[in-house]
Amino acid sequence: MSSMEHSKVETQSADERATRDDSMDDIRPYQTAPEPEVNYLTNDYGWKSWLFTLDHKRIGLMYLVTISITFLLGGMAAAGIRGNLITPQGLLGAETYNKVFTAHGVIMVFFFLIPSIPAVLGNFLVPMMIGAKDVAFPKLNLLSWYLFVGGVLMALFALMRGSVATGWTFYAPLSSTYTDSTVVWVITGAFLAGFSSILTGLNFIVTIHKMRAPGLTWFRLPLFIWSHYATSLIQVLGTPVVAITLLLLMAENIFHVGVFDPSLGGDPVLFQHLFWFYSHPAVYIMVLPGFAVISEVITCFSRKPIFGYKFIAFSSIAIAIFGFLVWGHHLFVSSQSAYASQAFSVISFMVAIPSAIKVFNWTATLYKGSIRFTTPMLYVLGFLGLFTIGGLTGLHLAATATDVYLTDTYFVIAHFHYVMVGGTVSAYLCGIHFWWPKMTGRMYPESWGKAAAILLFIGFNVTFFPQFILGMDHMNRRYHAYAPQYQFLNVMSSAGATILAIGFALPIFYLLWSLKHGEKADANPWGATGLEWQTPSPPPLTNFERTPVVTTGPYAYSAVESERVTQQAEELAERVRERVLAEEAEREYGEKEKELV
Amino acid sequence: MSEPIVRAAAVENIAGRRPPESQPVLRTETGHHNTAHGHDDHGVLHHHFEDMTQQREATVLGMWAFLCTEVMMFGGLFFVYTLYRWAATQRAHDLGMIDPFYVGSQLLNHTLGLVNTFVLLASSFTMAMGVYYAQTRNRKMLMNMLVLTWLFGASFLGIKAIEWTTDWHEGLVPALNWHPEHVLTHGHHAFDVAKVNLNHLQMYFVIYFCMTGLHAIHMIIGLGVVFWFWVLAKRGLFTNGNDQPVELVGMYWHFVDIVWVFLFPLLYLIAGHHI
Amino acid sequence: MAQTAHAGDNVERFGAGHAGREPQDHDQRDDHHHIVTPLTYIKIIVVLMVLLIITVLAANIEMGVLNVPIAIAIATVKAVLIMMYFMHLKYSSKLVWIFAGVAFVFVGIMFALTLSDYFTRDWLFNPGH
Repeated sequence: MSSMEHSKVETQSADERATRDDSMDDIRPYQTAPEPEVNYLTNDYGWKSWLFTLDHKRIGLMYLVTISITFLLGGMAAAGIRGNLITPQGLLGAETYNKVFTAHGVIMVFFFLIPSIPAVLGNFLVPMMIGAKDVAFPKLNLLSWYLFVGGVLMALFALMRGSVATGWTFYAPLSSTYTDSTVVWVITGAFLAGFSSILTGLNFIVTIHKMRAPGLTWFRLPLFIWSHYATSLIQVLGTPVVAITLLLLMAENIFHVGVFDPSLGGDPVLFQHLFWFYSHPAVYIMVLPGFAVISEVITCFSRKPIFGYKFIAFSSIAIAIFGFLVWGHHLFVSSQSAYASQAFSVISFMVAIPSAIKVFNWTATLYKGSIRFTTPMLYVLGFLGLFTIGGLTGLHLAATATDVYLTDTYFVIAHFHYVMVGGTVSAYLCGIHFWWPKMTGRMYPESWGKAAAILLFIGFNVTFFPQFILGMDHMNRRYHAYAPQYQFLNVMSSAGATILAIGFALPIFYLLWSLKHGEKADANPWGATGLEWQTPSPPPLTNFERTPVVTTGPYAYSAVESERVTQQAEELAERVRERVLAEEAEREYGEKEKELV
Repeated sequence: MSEPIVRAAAVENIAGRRPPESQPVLRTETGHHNTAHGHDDHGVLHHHFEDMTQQREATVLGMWAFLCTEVMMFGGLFFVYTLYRWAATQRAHDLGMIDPFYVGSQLLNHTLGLVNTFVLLASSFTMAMGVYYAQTRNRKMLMNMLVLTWLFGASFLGIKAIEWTTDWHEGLVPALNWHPEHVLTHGHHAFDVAKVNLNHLQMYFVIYFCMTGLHAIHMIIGLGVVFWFWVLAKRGLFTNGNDQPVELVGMYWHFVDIVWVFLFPLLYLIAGHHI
Repeated sequence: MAQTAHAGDNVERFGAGHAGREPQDHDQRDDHHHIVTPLTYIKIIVVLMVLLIITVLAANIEMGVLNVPIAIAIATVKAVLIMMYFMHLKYSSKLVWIFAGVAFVFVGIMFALTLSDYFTRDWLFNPGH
């Protein structure tokens, strides 16, 4: 065979050879690029090179570590919730349970979901996907990480101080007049996380506007960029409003000034309006980056260009804008006027349309595609089903009449977990696995990946589907105890949660394992399109040796396919030719031997 | 085609040389200090930008994006003001009482408020002139303008401090020192206390202190930055072609001025009648 | 570094050009070296001071419900002047104009939709109102 293959085998360790997954060999003929001398991980060492880094890739990794920790903490709180709900009386007392679900909500919303994909994958990939060396403001990027860590520490401090039992929504006057000042620490933590989010969004907007490679027009951008751009719009425009709201809440809690206190002439519903003005668009901050990942991965593993590129691009922007118009659907039962409620209800129905357009387009992308059931693809397929269920049940809640019945029941909880966990977290894990080789230069073990994805899907559904039924049966949320008739489904839900927990825990182990023992990855192990796959894995410090010039649109998979087929045919022809030559040579040698004898 | 190679060579040549104090000495990724000086008076090009035009455009956009967040933040407070002013005025009208927001605004010192507005506008003027002198590379005048801006800004805060101290003495600070009856009955403007909803009057002052307080915090930060820039301007940092940072600070300063331009009429100049 | 022939060879790699700036991001007006003259600044500051005086005078005239809109209108004119001339919006591209204006649009949304709740509360009979 060729000497190149020979040397490849030699460079592999026994470990790598043993664990090598050959299922992808036909689209990823096994090869390793010679490692560049220096990549972004090896160019500098020591804690200072990480804590003072200006490299967006390192900042993305630091976020990865931090939010893995916060995810763990939020998960522990979830375990507390599901553990408590095994029995109707509740294993925890009311106050403790309230603190546990508050911690779960605060940590998961402010310190996990909102940063997750943008801060980890967005930071890592946005500059690479547009052919830039870094984001527009690298120092602000580093600052955003520090603000985030500061926020986490504040929240942890509050937890240790005895935590708060207000719910992550901090409604006044409970959190202003009837809670002690621990809530101020939690709010400060959320405030800092909010500014972290603002800086990330600001960075992305300017980067995408001004630092695209030559030839990379808006409609040649990967949809990952479009979705992150839409996310950034929301981050920049929405977060400051919750910032000032939280400041007012702090003033109220400390000074009892009466902004939200009815006894002093204030209006508690005003808090709800201001809070949800941000917090509804916030859920689009959580889900739009998920859409970003799905668009990239689904095209790669269908080997097809995306169906309806412009529709998906524009629907991302539409979601960002429309998402600012619907917050009143959280206030249907709060004494909001009937007229306003109707308006918000109608617009809430409308905001479902762009999301539906995306789901249709992704499904159409699958159609007649050449589907590869890799781990990321399993997460994508799970996302499509789970997000659709979550989105449809959102419509139940958007309709004022049904919402009045379903609000504050487990139906709402099931709805938002379907979109946030079944949606965002699935997409987050999908993205981590898909871009893991790019970030670390290593492949994760494929069979473990698939197992985790399947466990997550099963565990998730067993946990949350019963909650739809519980909600329709009118089991109230945020109660530590419940009527006995709900016990069976609650136990089923808690059992599902243990499976879900394993599905979440597994990746931590095998991903860490892969850092040392995973198969080394080359620049483009998936055969994907996109500028980030044109550099080595892991990338060099400035991402590209020279600024790329883009001449075609994204997702040119048909071109890739035909190219790959051609290349395989050529390689096959080459091997046949070599074998024929070898046989001829053998025959000649044999004849010569006979002659000599 | 040759640009990046040339730039890389430039970095190579001056690697190891101690960077000027203007560059915060953060270790960059390659260990080369970020000293990509434009040799041709176009200011300092940061390593991740392709050229000065891109850098200028990006930083200006970045500052406008940041000001967007400030508009949204103050916008929330303006909304709280709007809602409570509408509600309080409505309620007073329905019940035949005096508009509490009118009462509140009458209890402020209009003269000082007006002087403050002039002062802040003047500071915007001197700041804009500072940008001009940075662009025309006049180091002395830039420094003078920054000093004047700082002095105007400090005067603004000084006058504000006087106003707030007066409010404190008059018992008009909600929750901390709130007993408005005295000034209502004995102040310049006498009001029938029975006809003033004291809760709503307190709401007015809560909003007053929150809004002017947040504004003052922004002023303090601005003053800090202007002072720091005076120090850097003294070293000639902004008059060698690198005028962009002054423009950016100017934008922030003008924004803070714009907020006050709205605050003044809404807080101080509320019209109303005596009943 | 060796790159095998993979997807993406449609991307040529050579040197830097003007990265990612669209024709529409530039206008005639987008001239970073446009220096606004002190005379312009002086004219604007004088106008601003005059408008301030007008604001105070207008506030002393009883106009009923019109007082507030007029005060806001004058303040808006001042704000626009500051943005156009002191913040150099007049000499900036359309993209910058959009960045400058978009936040006000969203504040408007916040005002409009929230007030739509409060203003319509007693359109229907509300027990206990």
